[in-house]
Amino acid sequence: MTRHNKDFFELFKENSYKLDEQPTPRTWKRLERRLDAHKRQNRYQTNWTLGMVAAVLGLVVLVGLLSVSYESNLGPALAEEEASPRYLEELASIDNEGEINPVKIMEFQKHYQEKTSQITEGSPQQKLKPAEPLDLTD
Amino acid sequence: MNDKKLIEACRRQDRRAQRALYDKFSPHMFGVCKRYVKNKEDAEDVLLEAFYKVFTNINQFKGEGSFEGWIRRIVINESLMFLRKKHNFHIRVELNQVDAQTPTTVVQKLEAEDIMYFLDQLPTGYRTIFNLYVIEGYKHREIAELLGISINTSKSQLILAKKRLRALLEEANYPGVNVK
Repeated sequence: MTRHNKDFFELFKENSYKLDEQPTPRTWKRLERRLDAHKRQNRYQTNWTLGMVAAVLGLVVLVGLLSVSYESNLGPALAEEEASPRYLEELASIDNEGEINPVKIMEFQKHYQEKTSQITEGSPQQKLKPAEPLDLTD
Repeated sequence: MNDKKLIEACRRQDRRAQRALYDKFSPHMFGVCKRYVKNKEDAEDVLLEAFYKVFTNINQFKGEGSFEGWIRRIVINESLMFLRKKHNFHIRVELNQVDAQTPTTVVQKLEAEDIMYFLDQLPTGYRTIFNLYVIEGYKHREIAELLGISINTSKSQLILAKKRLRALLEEANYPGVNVK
């Protein structure tokens, strides 16, 4: 690049400050509105974040308190049940009711046969006596 | 209030400090916008957007280098973003099609209106590359990256811009113009 070329283009650079100009007041007012909106948005986001953090912390504390209270109230009872499972015993007794006991059946059959044995015939003068009513209860 | 205190106050979103900083730098930055964007109203829109970014990203300024330079880069980037929406910088002119041997013109003085007049006569591509190379001092490689064009396109458009400017100066019979 020659000396003259440099002068010519340098001139644009050297004189570019002459383009400096105060923008219209409207530009600052618009910028101020944008900055206000940004500030509001920032505040809203900060509040929202803080709110969420507080809500999560509250939830954690609540769950913690509930679990502590549940353990303190129901803990011993549950521990007792684990040591002696009463409900299992009750279930076993229910099952036993429905169970067929062969000894009892044999006793019942023997008793039934005695009670239902044939009526022996006696003399004609002998009056018939009704058999004793069957007692089927144990 | 010096720049450092002003910046600190702006980081706290102090509105008076923001106003002071705007008053200090906006006239020069408006001049930069006007060199890139032809329409004055558009230039004001670009300026507004640039200062909005300056104030909302001021924490990113680490104090390395000049603060004015930092603002200026934001203003230039914002101007280029505005131009990119409307202009395609990819128009390619081969270097061998460009006659680099143009008459040498020596100008003694350029007034603001003349600078604007001459720049306004240039197509957007020439004008942008002329601004970036001659006035801002960017290299062709940097211009190519900024505009997403090849280095050759940047070079050829600069040569054409200079050629057009010389012709305009001669046509305008500008006082003090000395064509050799």
